[in-house]
Amino acid sequence: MRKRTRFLAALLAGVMVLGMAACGGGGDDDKSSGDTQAAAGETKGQAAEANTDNAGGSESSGAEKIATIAITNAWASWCPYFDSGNYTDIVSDQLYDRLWITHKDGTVSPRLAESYEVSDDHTYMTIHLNKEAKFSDGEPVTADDVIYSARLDCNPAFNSVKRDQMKFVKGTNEGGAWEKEEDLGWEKIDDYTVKLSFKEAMSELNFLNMMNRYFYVIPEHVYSKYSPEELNEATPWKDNMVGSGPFIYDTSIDGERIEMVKNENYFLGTPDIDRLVIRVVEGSQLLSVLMAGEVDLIAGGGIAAMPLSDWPAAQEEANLETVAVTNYAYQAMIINCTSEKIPNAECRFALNMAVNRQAIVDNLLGGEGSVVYAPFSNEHPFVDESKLNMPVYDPEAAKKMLEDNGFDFNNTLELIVPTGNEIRIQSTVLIQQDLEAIGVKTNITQYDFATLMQMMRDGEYDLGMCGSAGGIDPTEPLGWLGLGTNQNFPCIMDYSYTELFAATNSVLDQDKRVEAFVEVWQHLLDDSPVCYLYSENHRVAYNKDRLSGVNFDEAEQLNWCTWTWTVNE
Amino acid sequence: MKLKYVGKRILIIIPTFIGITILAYFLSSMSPGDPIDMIVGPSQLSAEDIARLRHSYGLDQPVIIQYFHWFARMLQGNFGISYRTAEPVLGMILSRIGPTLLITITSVVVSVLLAIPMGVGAAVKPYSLWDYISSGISFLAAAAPNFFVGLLLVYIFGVSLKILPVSGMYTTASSKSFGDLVRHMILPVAVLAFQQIGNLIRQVRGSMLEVLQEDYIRTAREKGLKEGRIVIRHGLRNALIPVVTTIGMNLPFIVGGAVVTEQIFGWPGIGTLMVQSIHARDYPCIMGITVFIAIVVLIGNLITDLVYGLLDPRISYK
Repeated sequence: MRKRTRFLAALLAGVMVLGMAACGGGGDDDKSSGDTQAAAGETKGQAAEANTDNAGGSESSGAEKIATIAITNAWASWCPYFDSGNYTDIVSDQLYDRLWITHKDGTVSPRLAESYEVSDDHTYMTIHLNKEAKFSDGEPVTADDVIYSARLDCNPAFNSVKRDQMKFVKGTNEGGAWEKEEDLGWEKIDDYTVKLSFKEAMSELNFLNMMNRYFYVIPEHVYSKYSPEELNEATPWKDNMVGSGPFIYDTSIDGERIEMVKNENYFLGTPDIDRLVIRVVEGSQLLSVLMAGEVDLIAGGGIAAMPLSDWPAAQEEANLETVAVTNYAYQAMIINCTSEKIPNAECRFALNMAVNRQAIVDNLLGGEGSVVYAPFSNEHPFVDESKLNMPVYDPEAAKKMLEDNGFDFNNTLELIVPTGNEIRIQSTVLIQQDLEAIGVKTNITQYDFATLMQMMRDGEYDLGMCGSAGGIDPTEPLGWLGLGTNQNFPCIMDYSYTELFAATNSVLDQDKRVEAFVEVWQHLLDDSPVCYLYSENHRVAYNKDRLSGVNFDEAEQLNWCTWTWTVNE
Repeated sequence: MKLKYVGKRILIIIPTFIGITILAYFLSSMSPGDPIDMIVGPSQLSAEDIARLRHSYGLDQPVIIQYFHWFARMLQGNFGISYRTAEPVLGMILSRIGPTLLITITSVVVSVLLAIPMGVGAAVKPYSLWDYISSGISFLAAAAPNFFVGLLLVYIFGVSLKILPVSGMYTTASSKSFGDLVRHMILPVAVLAFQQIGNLIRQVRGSMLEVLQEDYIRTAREKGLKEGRIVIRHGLRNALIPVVTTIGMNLPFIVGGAVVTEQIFGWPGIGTLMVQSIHARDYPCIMGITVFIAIVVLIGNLITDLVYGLLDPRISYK
């Protein structure tokens, strides 16, 4: 009996110890620099070691100025080029530098690039780098690093998913991969000057607005020892986290958090935050963790969208600053252009006109958003609604247009919606009611996003709900409209949109380019492959007792400029 | 004899395990949704680039070939590279096993330690106040979904009282300590333990009531043994056999419950990894996690069978 009891106790204790050990509980081995503690899921950064020791490590943790940001999904990759999602980019933007800071009006200000000039014929630009910039290992950031980053991004053997914006650079194919490395239009002039040649004359701001979102400068001296194939795995990136950004990688727990310490030598100013923590928090828990003081900031939008039902409670909290930030993200109902049930553009326009967008904004967003007809709100520098003939809500005219254009009211349209975004799901029900009011029958089905994407691309639907992060780049909507693109959800069968958007690239004058887009948007509205619906404000909330200097109003392309934030004593 | 029995059971486990991998691989591959879509996202890569990506992940091969490649690598301990993160799957799973085991096993221990006295007390004095309280807790635990219990505990202990952390494993890396870990464990363990305790209390109570009617208990009483000794030495030991069965059978549900609990409490376990992997159609990761859960359940069931013998010497292994 005693033997058996001992066996049971030993079994239980063994399993518990295994679990504890695997969690690194109580372990003080995070001083073992550079070790990947696979079993613990923790990785300690080599580069951050010096900084951590300077800060006194855990002994002086009380004196550390810590800021904690919540995100609702874990970053996918340690390499800034493997994933195009916000969760990875917001981490990458702290560790690496981008060339410019993009503003909401489409202008840029210096970051790693100090200044630039454009040739008279707009076929190339010369970029001057900040000579003060250094990587976290002390090496200077030079033109070689910029060229290396661009060449790696465009290397067809490297699995970058961000190179498509390089398609305007000389020597690349339509997807942004170089055809011959030596022909690539990124050239070194001197240690701190780079020449960037375009395929043909184009507006440099146009290019910067597209490219700057995704282009991170990585150190050549660290990564060039690996082949592009070796760099297709995360391990070299995880083992060599060296960047020139405002923060330096310190430690992480897979899927739970990443912690960074400030880069004392950051060339745009030493951050006030000693330790920046980015933590994964479930969406429904965002307000709870903010109120409990476990996080300091919820960034809203595509980073950490607080449920709308929690927003009034957040606004009532005395220690919270709440800001509803307008932005260029949008939600839309995509119409399958190959569906026999919706025979022509007139019928699509009629469906577009039958949707009461204002009711969605008023009833579901509580006014925290705006109606959109073109891909972006009227606030976007490339949208001027006063010059557009928009499908404003008119159910009677919509019904008549459907009757006049051979729409069969006996058909039931399959309306599909992805799971996850509750407001979008509820808006689908309102749209169903709007369509029912003009005699159009719909059947709503929810799918997970991966299934929905495949169904839409394969044309197995009639109407489908989807959203986009949008952005300052006015050619962004082409992602859904170009034949051959991965997200050609409306099943466009020709290159009309590709050519239409491409024509705007050759317009060099900014005002004339805005005018050129009036034509694009009008064609898009008349053809109505997409029924653009609303733009939801980003609900940003932060603890104002803890943080100052946070400004999201200008934070286009995730340019949060965290080095300017301060932690209140 | 016992070793022979274990050997036999392992021989049965092997084809079961292979069957599970075949089912899981083909079902996940047949499910709609393309992993390349999830990797590429809104990027407008060329068709050539997308074909290259597909080739580099082996997704251009027939599913059956993909399965055999995966299985052969798995036998060598190589679970492949995650489509979503480009990290070795084995490393990703190893990093998540510890946190999941920690909260699931702790919750089993806590629930057993609470359920046994409550169930025994209820059986020894049926229809007493203790019995009503135990039964009440049992019904409440069985009826309340764990996400609801989780949110309630977060509100009470995190938001209102501010005495317990509601998310993550540690406060910060610099404050990391055993005490910090335990504080972060309390709420997720409480939710998981509460999920299990209802069933266990009813099981212990029912088994004890049955055992206490047995002839040998009556004989023990007539011999003048103390009631406490009768209940614990003679009653409880025999009553525990169905309880152990319940725990063993519950293993998959405990792991399943951990998925929701890990999501609510931002606990970096295998559950959150599984949800992320399914959303991303990250087949290597889905398969790796399936293998892990299959092993846990199969070995758990084997251990359950072995524990029967430890509890009741009348059970022999043939």
